[in-house]
Amino acid sequence: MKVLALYSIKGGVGKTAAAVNLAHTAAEEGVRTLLLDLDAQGAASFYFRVRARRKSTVDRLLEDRDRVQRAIRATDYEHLDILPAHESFRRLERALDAVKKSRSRLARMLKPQRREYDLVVIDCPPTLTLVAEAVFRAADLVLVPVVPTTLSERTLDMLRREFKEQGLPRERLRAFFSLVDRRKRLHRDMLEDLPRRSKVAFCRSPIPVSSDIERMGLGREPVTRFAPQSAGALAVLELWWEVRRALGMRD
Amino acid sequence: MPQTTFLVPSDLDGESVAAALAGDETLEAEPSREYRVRFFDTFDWRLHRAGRTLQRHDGSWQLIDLDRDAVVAEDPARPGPWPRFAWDLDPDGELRRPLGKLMKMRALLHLVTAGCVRERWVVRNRDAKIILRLALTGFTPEKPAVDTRLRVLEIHPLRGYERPARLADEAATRLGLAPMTGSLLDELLVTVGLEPRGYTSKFRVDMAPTLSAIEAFAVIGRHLLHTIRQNESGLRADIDTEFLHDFRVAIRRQRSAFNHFRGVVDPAALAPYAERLADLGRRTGPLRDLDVYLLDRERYRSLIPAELRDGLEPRFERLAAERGRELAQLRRTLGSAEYRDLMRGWSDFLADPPPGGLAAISILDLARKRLRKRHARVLRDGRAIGPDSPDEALHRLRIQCKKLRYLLEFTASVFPAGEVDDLISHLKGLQDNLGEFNDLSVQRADLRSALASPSGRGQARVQEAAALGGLLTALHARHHEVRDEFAAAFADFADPAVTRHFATLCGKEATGS
Ligand SMILES: Nc1ncnc2c1ncn2[C@@H]1O[C@H](COP(=O)(O)OP(=O)(O)O)[C@@H](O)[C@H]1O
Ligand SMILES: [Mg+2]
Repeated sequence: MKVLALYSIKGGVGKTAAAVNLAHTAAEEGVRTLLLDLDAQGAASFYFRVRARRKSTVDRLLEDRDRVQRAIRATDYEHLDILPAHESFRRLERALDAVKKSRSRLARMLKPQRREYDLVVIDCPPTLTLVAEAVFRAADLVLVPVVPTTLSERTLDMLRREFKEQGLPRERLRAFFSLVDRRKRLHRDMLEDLPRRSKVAFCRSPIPVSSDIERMGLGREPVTRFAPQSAGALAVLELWWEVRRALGMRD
Repeated sequence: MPQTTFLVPSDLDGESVAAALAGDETLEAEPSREYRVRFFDTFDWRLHRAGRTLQRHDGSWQLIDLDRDAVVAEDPARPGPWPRFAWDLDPDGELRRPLGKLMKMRALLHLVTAGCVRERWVVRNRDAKIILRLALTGFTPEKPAVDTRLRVLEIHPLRGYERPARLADEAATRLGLAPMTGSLLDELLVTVGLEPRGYTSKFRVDMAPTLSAIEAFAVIGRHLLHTIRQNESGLRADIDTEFLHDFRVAIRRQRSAFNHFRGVVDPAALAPYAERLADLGRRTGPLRDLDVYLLDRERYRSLIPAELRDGLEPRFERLAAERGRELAQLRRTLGSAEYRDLMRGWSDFLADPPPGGLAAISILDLARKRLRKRHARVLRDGRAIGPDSPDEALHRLRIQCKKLRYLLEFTASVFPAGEVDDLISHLKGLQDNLGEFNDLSVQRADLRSALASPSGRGQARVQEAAALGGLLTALHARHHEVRDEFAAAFADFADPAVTRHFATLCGKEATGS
């Protein structure tokens, strides 16, 4: 089982959209996938029309493996299940802090899922705290959406240093361009230059600004489902192939 | 929470069943699908007995686990005729190995073909999230064609949405739908009037210990006659070698019963049938011998070095041609008025066999009496065999063992369950040793006579002689090993614990020395 985390300290950069679409694409290839919606906003759960059980609070999930089992729900798609966000996930930070071995907690919580899933995709809330540290520990690959603006370069570099300080291998960190608008001069230049300058490896497939991806919130379906031939969906597919290789999963 | 399955009667409309199961939630039909399935097994249900079936579906061959209703192995269907034997399957495919293990030398037979229509629905909650899946499949048997249609409703729960599935189960029960207990295949077989596992080559009759010996004789005889008749058509159609094998074993068992039940039936009335059945048995011998050779073709080839192997081929080709002639001969026998007359006469005889002096004693008493003698005989003859005894002594012991084995099988049901099986397992070890010893003796004798008059000319003649010589050497070595293993096989059977077990089975008088 591999663990893929979609992470950025910034909001609105396309983490959730990527998590939902990548998880759906993997499942379509027969990869048994669990999407873990850690963001209390529950955007990923919303896309899959799933609500959490009332009793699946964050404290209980961290304490009790059986609770985790019972919190998981089937999506409408074969091979794809979700652990939906619960409003109590707002307290995730405090709840983690309250248990022993906080940093490895998430990794241990996911371990029993090995039997049922080949891939876990984590949709993260935008924080750089204990929650992020726990996610970094659990993940085989931390995938960071980068919107091509000048500011994002600094943010990415901060994250790289954070990774280094925590003693985590740099190979586990990877960026991809998100919300790319090729009509903008700045975007085109950044796409050229940033991967060369940056000490973080970049995926070659950027995700363009796409009205289809934007519309996911209306139809509440992954773009790879309702518009599989759209530019947005095809970009997701190419990104998935790169991610799959980076995770060392079979073609 | 596993999937649940119900049978739906033909007067219930699928859409309204689905609506009832959806309750207050939204039901949405999905596209339905039409396809065809065909099921296969060997005549003696080897796949079914192993909890499997072979299914042809969607352009592929699938080995199915009947309990889990899951595909265990699958090959794409190739153009051309359907595979008959395991060795017809793609050597690199998934099916070859598992099917080979189950079927061995038996052929696949078509069981049933059904045309299927699968209707599907999803049930959605107020968020338009799918919380339950339903499917109703109608199976129309096309071959054999019958008027009844089998309709199977599946309720597929989704993880995290157990409640709607439970409610649907309850609704199905309220509609009076019966849960499907067996596998889909079994339901389909019953629909077309076939009995799953309806044939077995194992002998098994159920008799009360108090049954009179003459009644028991008739029960056994009718069972064996039925086996003979069941194998006739497969034998004539030359589907595989085991029809003849089972046909012959039934005759041999019957002849053995004549001996075990002597005095029970009027001997003068029985004599002509005993003679005619013996004659029928003899006529099937040559074909069986050839079958055994030809089945062993690959094994024989593997026993000798690669460079000698092709030398065997002319001989196998001659044997195959000879087999064709023998088969034609046997078909004529089975088609003859004489054979039909024998079957009819014997069936009438068994309906009301004329009694002999021992007709009225109970089968339990008769079984004990005869088992005691048979067992003592095997022990006595076996103990007399030493390292220097002639081969002939082992062959005689093999016959004695076979008689004992048949008697145990005939009468197993009059003893407490499992008692006889245990004794048979000890006897079987000894029989396996003696059987292999005998086979090797016969094969060596055949090879010697083939070598005495090799066929062909020149180079071909030399090559055949070399191959036969190589084979003789290999068989010779194995023959000695088997002979050496006899002592241990016999010791296991003659073990005091086994002997005591026999004595208890046979009543107070001790058996053996
Ligand atoms: N490639 C894209 N093209 C157009 N809109 C997008 C794209 N990716 C995301 N969005 C929109 O941007 C908003 C934020 O995206 P989201 O994936 O929720 O970001 P995050 O999870 O990083 O906060 C959402 O409204 C989403 O519909
Ligand atoms: Mg998000």
